[in-house]
Amino acid sequence: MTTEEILRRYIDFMERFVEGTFAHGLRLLNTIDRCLLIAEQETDESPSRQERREAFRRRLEQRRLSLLHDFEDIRQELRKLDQKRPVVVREHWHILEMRCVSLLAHILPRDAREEWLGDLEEARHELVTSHYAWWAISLITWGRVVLLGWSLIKIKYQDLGFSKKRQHE
Amino acid sequence: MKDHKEANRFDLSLQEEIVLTLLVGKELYGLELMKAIEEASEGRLRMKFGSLYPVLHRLEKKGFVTSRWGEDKPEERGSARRRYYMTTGLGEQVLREVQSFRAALATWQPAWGRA
Repeated sequence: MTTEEILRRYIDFMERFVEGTFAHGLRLLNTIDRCLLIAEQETDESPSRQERREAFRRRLEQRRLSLLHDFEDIRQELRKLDQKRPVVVREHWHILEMRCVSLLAHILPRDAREEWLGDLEEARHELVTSHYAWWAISLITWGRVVLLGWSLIKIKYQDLGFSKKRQHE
Repeated sequence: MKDHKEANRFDLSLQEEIVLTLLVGKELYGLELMKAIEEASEGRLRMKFGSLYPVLHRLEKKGFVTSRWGEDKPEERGSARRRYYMTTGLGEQVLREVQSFRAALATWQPAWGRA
């Protein structure tokens, strides 16, 4: 599981937790209200108690809204991250792998980018479907990214050789 | 050597020859080439990401192979197209020449009358 997936699941869980806690708080207030209604026959509810109850409700509402606002901010950041990612990099990539591949994508020529990174992604997909451990997949992919960088250097060197040869001829 | 250019035709590395042999009569893309080499050699020989693309680039520059983009955009490749390689007429001719040269080397005998 990648860091992003863990973060997404954590936010989903926390959102459910906040909503659950809020609902529980409201249920608690209803119970207090019911208790007060029963007690009403004996004594009137004092203004200070009413104020405290309202203050509690407000605090609960504010806390809920602030937490939901924070979660929305995190979601927006995740969405921005998704948009920045190159087309070949999928959701299941580890964040460090993504960084390496993005870096490589920036230095590769356009044709090589589509071909090489497509092959890299396909090879990675095969590892995923072969049920390799995530760390093994990451390690192999990093190694391949380094090799692709080396390939690029070799090709540049070859091109230099070809152009010199052509000049010589 | 008769001619410098003629001599260069035999200047085919082992990796280039393997790739050229593999591409005769078929179109293959990078990852397929890697798998084919590994399977055909029963795992003894591997051409990895670091060596395959420079070899293909070299062969293309020499005019021994040509390439075309596939039309499909598979999901498992992140919607990236495949680049298929195939041999050119020149590539096949050079390969035949290299193979016949090797056969000639293997069957070569010293001239009569040598001490």
